[in-house]
Formats: sequence, C-alpha cells, structure tokens
Amino acid sequence: MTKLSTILATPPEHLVLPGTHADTVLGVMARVVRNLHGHPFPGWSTLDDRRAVAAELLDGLQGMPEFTRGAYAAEMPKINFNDRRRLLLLNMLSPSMAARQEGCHLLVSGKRHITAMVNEEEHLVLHVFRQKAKRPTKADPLSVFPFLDDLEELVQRLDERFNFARNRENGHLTSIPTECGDGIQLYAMLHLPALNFANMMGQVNKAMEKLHVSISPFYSDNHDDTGSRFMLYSIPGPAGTLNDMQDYFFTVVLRVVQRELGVRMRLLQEPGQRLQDHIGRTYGMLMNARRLSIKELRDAGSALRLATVLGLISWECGTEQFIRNLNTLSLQLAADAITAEDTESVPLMLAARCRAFLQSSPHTFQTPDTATL
Amino acid sequence: MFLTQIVNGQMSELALCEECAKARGLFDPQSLTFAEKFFPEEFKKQVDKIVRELAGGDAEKLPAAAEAACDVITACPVCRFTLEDYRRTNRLGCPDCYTFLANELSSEQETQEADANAPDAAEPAQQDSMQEPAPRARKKSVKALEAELQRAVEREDYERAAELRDEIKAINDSAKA
Repeated sequence: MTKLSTILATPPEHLVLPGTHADTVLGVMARVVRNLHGHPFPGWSTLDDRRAVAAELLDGLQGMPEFTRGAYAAEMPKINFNDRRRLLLLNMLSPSMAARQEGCHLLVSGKRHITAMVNEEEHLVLHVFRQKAKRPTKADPLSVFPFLDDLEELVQRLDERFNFARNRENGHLTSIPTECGDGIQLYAMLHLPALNFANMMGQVNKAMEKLHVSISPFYSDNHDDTGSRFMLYSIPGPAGTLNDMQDYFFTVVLRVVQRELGVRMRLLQEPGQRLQDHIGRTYGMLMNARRLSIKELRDAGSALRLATVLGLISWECGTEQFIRNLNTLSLQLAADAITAEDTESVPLMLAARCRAFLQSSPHTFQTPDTATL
Repeated sequence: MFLTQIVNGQMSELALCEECAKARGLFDPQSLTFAEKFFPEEFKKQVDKIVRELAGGDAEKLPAAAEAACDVITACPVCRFTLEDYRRTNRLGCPDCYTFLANELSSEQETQEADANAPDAAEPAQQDSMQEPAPRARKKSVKALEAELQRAVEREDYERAAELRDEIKAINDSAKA
C-alpha cells in the first residue's frame, strides 16, 4: 500500500495538464454517491454502524483494480490536519469528509484519478477525475465523451459489486431526499479570466441560476479570491435522466466557454489595451514584488496563463510545457503555504519562488495576431 | 379538520383526520362555527381540552402528537429517525426511511416543491443573453446501451427498456445499411 507522503509528493497528472479548449476547461470531475441497505446514513449513525458499513465497502472496493496496485487507504484519524488541507486543495477530499474521524475511510486509486470516501455524508462517495483529455472533435468539443464512457463503466462495475439502496420511484437513495436519483453529479473546473476581468461573472452567475446549473469559486466561497477559477456543477437529477443531464450540463459548459473566448478576443482588440496593461502590470509585480499573498499568486497565475494562451508571452519551453510548470509550481506553493510553520515567512517565500521561476523560464513579449487566434 | 389556537401569544395549529374529529365530537363544522359565535367561552374550553389531550400540555409537540393520534407512522422502525428529525434537518436516517415514511415524505416534499416553484414577485423577469441551450446528443456504443437496457430490465423500468431496445435496433439497422 502506498504512503500518503508519496501520494502528495507531486500533484496528480490531471491537475498539471493544460486545460482543454484554449485552457478554459481545467478539469472535469464526477461525484458518485451510493448507500447500503440496512445501515443508518453516516449523519445518523453510531461508531459501530460506521464500522459495519466500512467493513462491507472496503472489502469490495479493495478488490477493484483501481484500488489495488499503488493505491492508498487509511482511516481518517490517521490523516493529519495539514494533509487533509492538502487533499482538499487537490479535490481528493470533500470538505465534509475532511472533518470526519473514526469509522470513516479514504481510498485513493493508484493513478490518483479516483478517490473513494467511506462514510462521508453518504456511505460511499467517489470523486472521479478526467485523466488526459483526448483531442476535441466537432461532436465532442470538450473532450468529455471518453471520460463519460469510462465513468459509466466504473459505476456499472460498482453497482454490480454491491447491493446499493435504491427503489423504482427514487433511484439511488441518499440522506437528502431531494438528491435521490442517478446519484451522479458532474463538475467542470473552468478558467474564466476574461469574463472575470470584464466584470461579467455576475451575468454568468445569473444565467447559471436560470439554467439550473450551480457555479461557485473554485477555491472557497470567497468571491473575491477566485484566481478566475470557477466550478460549474450539475444539480442531481431524477433516476433515469443521467444521459440527458450529461448532455445538458456539458452544453451549458460549452456556452460559458464560448462566451469566455469571445470576451478574450474582444478585450484583445480593444484600442485601450486594458487587458495587455493588466498582464504587463501583473508581470512587473511578479518580477519585482518582495511579498505575495496567496490571492495575489492565484490572480497573477491566471493572468500569466491567459497571456501565454493568447500569445502575448512566448516561452522557450513551449506553451504546453510552461502551463504544466506553472500548474506544478502553483500547487506546490499552495501546499507549502498550508504546511509552513512560520506563516510570516510565507509571503516572502511565495514572491522569491515566483521570481526565480520566471527568471529561469526564458520568454519574450510579443503582439499576437488576433486573426490567427 | 384544522384548528388554530393561540396560547400566551403562541399560535398552534392542529390537524385532525375525520375519524379523530368525530371521536372528539367535532363532526359538524357548521355547528362549530355556531358554537364559536354564540358560546365563545364554552367553545374555547372544549378546544383547549382537545388540544391538551393530544399534546399532553406541550403546544410545541402539537404536530407530532396529532400525527401520533391519527396513527401516522412518524418514526422509522429500523433507525428510529422521526418525521420531526426530518423537518429539523431535511435529511433522513437510513435508506429504509424511504419505505416507512414514504407517504409523509411525499406530502412534505410536495409542499416544499410548491414553495420553491412559487414565482418570486420581488424578482423582475430578465432577458439573459445566455439562453437555455438545446442538448447535444452523445452517441453511445451499442455495448453501453445494452448494459443500460439490462439494468433497466432489472429495475423493471420497462418504459426505459423499450426506448433503449429501439435505440439499439436503430443503431444496428443503420450499421447494416
């Protein structure tokens, strides 16, 4: 069994890859929820109940190929506070699971693209991430179809392995009656710097409300500290509507992405050059700042990504490699900031490492040809 | 039958089924109105007596007491989760609660859904440029459809099974063509 330190040593591959669709779709994830018959839900259970559920589920899960070679499994009390925060940062742990103790278990697949939480708010919650996205096609512009096929196959194997609680009327039964149904929610992690820069996120939020798709800042509930990253997620649908829900959700995501790309072009062509000015100022701050907060780091990282994708900055190592390096650095810095013993030194550390990163990555500024973009 | 009582400024509502109302002499709503109008003191005493009898003197327990008196299942026999717990938390205790509290849950959910769907007068209708999109159809493999068909048959969802059967047939026919 792999150690947690190994799991956390480097960020998972799916988190460092450049996003698809001009770096707007950073990742896609599904939350799968299942419960067992004859046991109280975790929020209403005793320690003995939770242990009985864990014994039944762990036995079956550890027989699945995803959770055998290179996988990690532990009861929650064995995971310390800092490691929980780092797992939260990587979306490998849900906020409610981060607070759980005895009788609750975490499993991470060998490839780190699936985490299984036993006795979260439901008996079993899986976070399944899209691994490397294939080349987009006209029929599948967001490159999600292979992921959805894999997800379906995984869920089918899971449902065959366990006798999960379900009935004809409600589908899979959950602790919250309004969330019964197919037991699958989809998440898209989006990078929307142009919409954010143009103060259009309020419009997007209103539109999502009307379209019954939820949206929240990626890192926390703080709308002032988004780093232009947002999470769109589907509302659980009634049983038997999964395929329709998937199609609908990703069509909405595509609309948001198209809006973002349109605003990027509009900003680039503005005579006032507000976007170019913003990127130039951000670059100057990163090269010269002596103290950086996490919020400044996130905002600056977002601006650098945008500048790279739009061709305002050309990196010798190539666009894709630069974004991989930037993602890796951002995740490592965030993890180091979380675990730092001396919190006073964190802003100094962030500024110094950002400066060193930029100085060691040869690059040139250029004027992009908007016609080719 | 619904009774509303105000004790020390606190309003309590009592719902009785027809049988319980008859058993307590409340079988004729018209005569109740008559009694309330012409013998207010006697009427109040009578209602007080019924309310105390049902609630055991505790006005806050009125809904649960009324349900208990009407032989409504208010607790799941498997996990002991009660309807009161559900009202407080909006969650259930175990999967079996769906079986034992089904009737009560559906009526509560209908009430919640009606509240949620009620138009908000304070919010003016807005035209947003991001219109509701038409969903794209994801072409699924025959294998995946067959697996889904199998599951639909297992859960006796024959309507969905028939749709899937037709879908598979259409794909196979087009492949042959």
